[in-house]
Amino acid sequence: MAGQLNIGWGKRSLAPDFPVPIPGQFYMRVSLGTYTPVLASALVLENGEDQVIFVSCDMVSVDPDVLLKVQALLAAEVPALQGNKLIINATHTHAGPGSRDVGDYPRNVEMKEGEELRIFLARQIADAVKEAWEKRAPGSIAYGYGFATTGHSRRVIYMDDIGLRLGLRPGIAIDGHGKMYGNTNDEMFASYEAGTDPFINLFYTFDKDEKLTGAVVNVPCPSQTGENAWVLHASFWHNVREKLAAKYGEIGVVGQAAAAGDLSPRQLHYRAAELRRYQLKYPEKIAEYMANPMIFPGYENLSPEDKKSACENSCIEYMRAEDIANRIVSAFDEVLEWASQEKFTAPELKHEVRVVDLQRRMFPREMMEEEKKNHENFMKDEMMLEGDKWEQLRHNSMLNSRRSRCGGVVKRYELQEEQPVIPSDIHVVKIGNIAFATNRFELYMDYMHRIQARSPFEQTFIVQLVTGPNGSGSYLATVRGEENKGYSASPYCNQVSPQGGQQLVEETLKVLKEIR
Amino acid sequence: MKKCAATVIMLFAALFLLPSCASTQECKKSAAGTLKVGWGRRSIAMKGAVPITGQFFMRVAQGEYTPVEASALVLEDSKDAVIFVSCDVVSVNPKVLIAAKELLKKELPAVPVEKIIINATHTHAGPSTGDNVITYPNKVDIVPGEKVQKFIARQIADAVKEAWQSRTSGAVSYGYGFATTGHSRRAIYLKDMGKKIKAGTGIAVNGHCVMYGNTATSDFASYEAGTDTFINLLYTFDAQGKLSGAVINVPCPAQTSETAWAYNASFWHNVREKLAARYGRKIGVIAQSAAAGDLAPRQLHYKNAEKRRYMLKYRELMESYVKNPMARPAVNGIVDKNVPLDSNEVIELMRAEDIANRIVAAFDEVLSWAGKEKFDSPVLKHQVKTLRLPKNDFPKAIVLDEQRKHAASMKERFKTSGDPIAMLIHNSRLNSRRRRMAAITTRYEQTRKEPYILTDVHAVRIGNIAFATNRFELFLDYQHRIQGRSPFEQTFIVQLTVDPRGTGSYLATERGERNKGYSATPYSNQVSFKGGQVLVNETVKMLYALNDRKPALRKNPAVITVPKVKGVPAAADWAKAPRLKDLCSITTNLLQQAPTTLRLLHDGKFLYVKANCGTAAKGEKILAPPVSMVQRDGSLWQYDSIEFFIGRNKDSYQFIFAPGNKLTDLSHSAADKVSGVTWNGRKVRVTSSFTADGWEGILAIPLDELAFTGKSKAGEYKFNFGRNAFSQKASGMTNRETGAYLPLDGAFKNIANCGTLKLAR
Repeated sequence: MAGQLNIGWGKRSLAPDFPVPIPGQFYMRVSLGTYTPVLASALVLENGEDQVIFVSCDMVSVDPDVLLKVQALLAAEVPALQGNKLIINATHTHAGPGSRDVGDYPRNVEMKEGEELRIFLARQIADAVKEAWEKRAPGSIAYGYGFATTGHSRRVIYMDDIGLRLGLRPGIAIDGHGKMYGNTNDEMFASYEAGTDPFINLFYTFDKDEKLTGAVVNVPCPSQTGENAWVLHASFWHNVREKLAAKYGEIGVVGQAAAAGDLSPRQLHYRAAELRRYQLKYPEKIAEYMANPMIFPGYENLSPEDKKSACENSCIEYMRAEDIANRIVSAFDEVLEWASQEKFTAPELKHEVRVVDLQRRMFPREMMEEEKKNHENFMKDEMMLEGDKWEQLRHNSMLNSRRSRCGGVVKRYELQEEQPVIPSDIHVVKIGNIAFATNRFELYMDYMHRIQARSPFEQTFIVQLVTGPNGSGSYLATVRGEENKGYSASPYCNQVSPQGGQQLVEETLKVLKEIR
Repeated sequence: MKKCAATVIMLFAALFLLPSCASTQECKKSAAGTLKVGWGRRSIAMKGAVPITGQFFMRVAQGEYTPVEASALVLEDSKDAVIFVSCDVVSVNPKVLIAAKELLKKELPAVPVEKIIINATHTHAGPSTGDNVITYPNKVDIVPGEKVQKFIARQIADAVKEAWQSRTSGAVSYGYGFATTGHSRRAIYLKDMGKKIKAGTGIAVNGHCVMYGNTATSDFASYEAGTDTFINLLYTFDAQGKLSGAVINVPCPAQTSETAWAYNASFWHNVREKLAARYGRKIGVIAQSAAAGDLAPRQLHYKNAEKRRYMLKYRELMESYVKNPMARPAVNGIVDKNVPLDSNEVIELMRAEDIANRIVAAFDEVLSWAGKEKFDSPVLKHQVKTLRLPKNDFPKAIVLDEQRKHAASMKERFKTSGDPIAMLIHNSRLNSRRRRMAAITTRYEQTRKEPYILTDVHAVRIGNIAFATNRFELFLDYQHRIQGRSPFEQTFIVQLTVDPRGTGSYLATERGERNKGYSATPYSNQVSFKGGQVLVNETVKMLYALNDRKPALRKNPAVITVPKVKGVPAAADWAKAPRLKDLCSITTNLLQQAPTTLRLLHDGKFLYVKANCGTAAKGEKILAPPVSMVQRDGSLWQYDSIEFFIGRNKDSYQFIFAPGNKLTDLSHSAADKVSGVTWNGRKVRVTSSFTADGWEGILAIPLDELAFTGKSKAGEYKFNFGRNAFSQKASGMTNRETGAYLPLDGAFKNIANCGTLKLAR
């Protein structure tokens, strides 16, 4: 018999009061303000024998250095908390503070980044965890699954090699039969590569009076609506939190993306129908948004007409977030209604942390030579040293990205003989009849199905983009992905091979079976 | 199209311009539009020992667990009509369609019978409409197929008559939402499972795919094509604006309880009951399955979680069911009424309940906003075309193999004694298998004589949406291809629509055929995946025709002489320049809707390219790049823009220019490698301005900056250009269409396919 479960929630803002870099595109953006709160939300589950601390961060990814800093802070300030039991996931909003170094290129825009920003972020995350730890008290949990359409396949497959039609996009992607966000209004359009997954996994927490205190909400969709924003925002997780707060009071929400490397919130067909849907369904929300849109550099100098025109796209994106949030919240309510009939006060809690070696994606010498040439060519392209500061930031950060992506392939080629595997951290957590299994990747959905189908647990929450000391991020494509190519499935993006992906599946299942 | 929007808020002029209805008064007036709407329905639960098909063995109806129906909806204006009929059957035999039409012709000649679209919901527990001639030993008294066909044709005709006669002025609304209904049923494995998992002769040949395959195995790789959670909805209203019914279109065959021995309409019954409880018993429902040959209501993983979900959510329903389960036949004199609470039989019923709850939730959600915009006079056009689709032509070796298997199966014995039901199951299954094997030879021989299948496709336009039918169990990818390319806001794909020549059969994709498994083998596929693409292309063409698109393009002149001027051209110079126009849509091969005129001049130093770009229709607004897009080489192709290509040999330069003096200029070197992709011309200039109906721009290309490999004639270049015509319609919808001056065959920048520019001296 396991011990009584203690549950605690905490949260902190990750939005500093100074401009910070916003990564997620090939060019760098800098925050011009905060449009919605961006948060670190922490949930502690502990029963005296084991513990798990879930932290979701409204960020595109969390640098391992942030994790190490959080662990160091907590080791000093909360000695009973086991730092290695921290599971920090990025929701993958493309409008959160960037925890990685921005890079060295000429720019004339003020921001705080790198170490300075990581110290801030680590402090906030540590404080959220501390709060959760200190507030922990006996409670219960419930779980279930439902359906909510959140992500759509973003890998469009063509009958022909679209790379030949589009030409090369060095430093960005190598297209083949697949193209990310490809046009479906094309007579060679064949299919979406792997389709989508409408499952939503839900894990609820209650206090000793059986009052709902929060939930882990796990959907196969990165929260990347509004992904070109120049203001900080949490994408649909903000809308979800607001709606749940309105219904249930200030409850905690850990927002997790399940495996969704090949999914995104965007529909790639039915775009006109989608627009009409929002126009008819959310006229007030649209008016509200347009009265107070997300701003961007140069916004203040625009005529009122240009302001409207320039904000239309971000408005659609915002409505998409609203729409997704409505579906998540409907599923949340639906599942809560029946799942809460069965609350567990002392579920078995086991938390394993492992490092698994995954086979690196190898590529031939010719490809490396090609990228070397690309890199040399990009090195010949000049950085902008003067002119409009925003144009300079865009141009230079873009060039820097392309240089480093081509250079990255060269470096990885050099490593592939010497280090054919990539150590990767995974957490596997048993909570009664369900489990959580994490990975650091933008993991293609098929891998999730492989794990879930074979897992000995009733439900298995796959959590992608979880930071470990050995790294965070990078797409992990499948064999069909690698064959079809396109952004997210080229050597620029893949550190680990599909064989490594299957190793991740097998290693995860091994632990799941051990702890069952 | 007249529309009547109950609640509208004018927001702003461009993207979010909402459809308007000036006043409530106008709404009332427009209620008497041209559209007439009528509903009818009849039970098709024929009494007696009616065969139920859908499995390899035959079942015989043991009564009615839920009603099974034919529902009819008539939409008609003075010019055209469509009559939708959905039937709770696995498929509708062409004889039923023909007989129903004959009855109507005789009894109500005004009904345009060629406009009838009958689809099967694909419940596996409806009365069989097949011939069902029993050629094997049988002791069960079975109603002959002919009698059942006659009965169902009568019921369908009566439902249509009722709908036709009750039609009155009304309106429609439409929208889409999300409801998880079908799941992929094609499990794909890392290796070929053909030898490991034998599907049985006459049934299927497994490969990397096994239908309903076990996912809890280390070989499991993925679902083949995933699922589709879209639900398309068309609501109808009476003259008073009261909801009278809906067409509900989901990519899922209604095949829960697919081994039942009592009539069962699957989840459509639950949907109808729930809607009746909310909106009144008179609400009509046309239940359509969108393309779902590779989908089914079954989850193939999370089965324990699913069971728990139902146990917690529907406990009372489950308990009440096991007390009074569906009727089943006695085997050896015993009717097994013991149904455990967690048995598959109960789970299947709860699955229907769960799916129905999601459909109804989406129904309500979409109605809440779509109901604001009612159309009482939508454009109604209905076209029926007979297509020729290439048959699935398999190699002779398969035929020989099947002949061997068939010969072996002929040695298997029919049961001639014992329990009649057990006999029926055994003998009908053996008979099915033999027939499927023999059919391979027949089809092979027929294909030698006639390599095409003829099939009718209906394409129906109702205002801004369309319906497109097919007779197949169509794999999902085909639906996405049609919807992805359709010019309509929403395109309802309706599978298993009977035509006078046939009905049914799976239509697999190329990846399906490669992966094999049930539904993607010669047993199941009459039409090849190439035929599937013909179906897609022809359907898209029909949709464009309904959308009033102009006819296909003639060939544009490919050799252009560019006049020489002195210095920067003046207005008078431009008047003399050749005008290049009539671009071809690169997706439809029809004339691009938005007009573009390009003029060319040169002064020896610069090539001047002047573009005049209009919108597809009056009142549209050019989608220009935002002012915030400050950098050169930005994503201009995502906005209204001109792409101009100039090259020699295999080298080309690409220029994209757009309103706001925006410019992208790149070069593509001979080896198609990267070197110059980031090329920025030093002296390239763009000016542009908005005009009354669009924009105009002038691009000046410095000829001395263009460098090409190899030798070529001085003053001669290869060229092509295109227009990304992106605009917002008055309704707020975005119109996107890319056109090319010289129609493309391969890459746009493939200079070998381009025309020639000769610079005059």
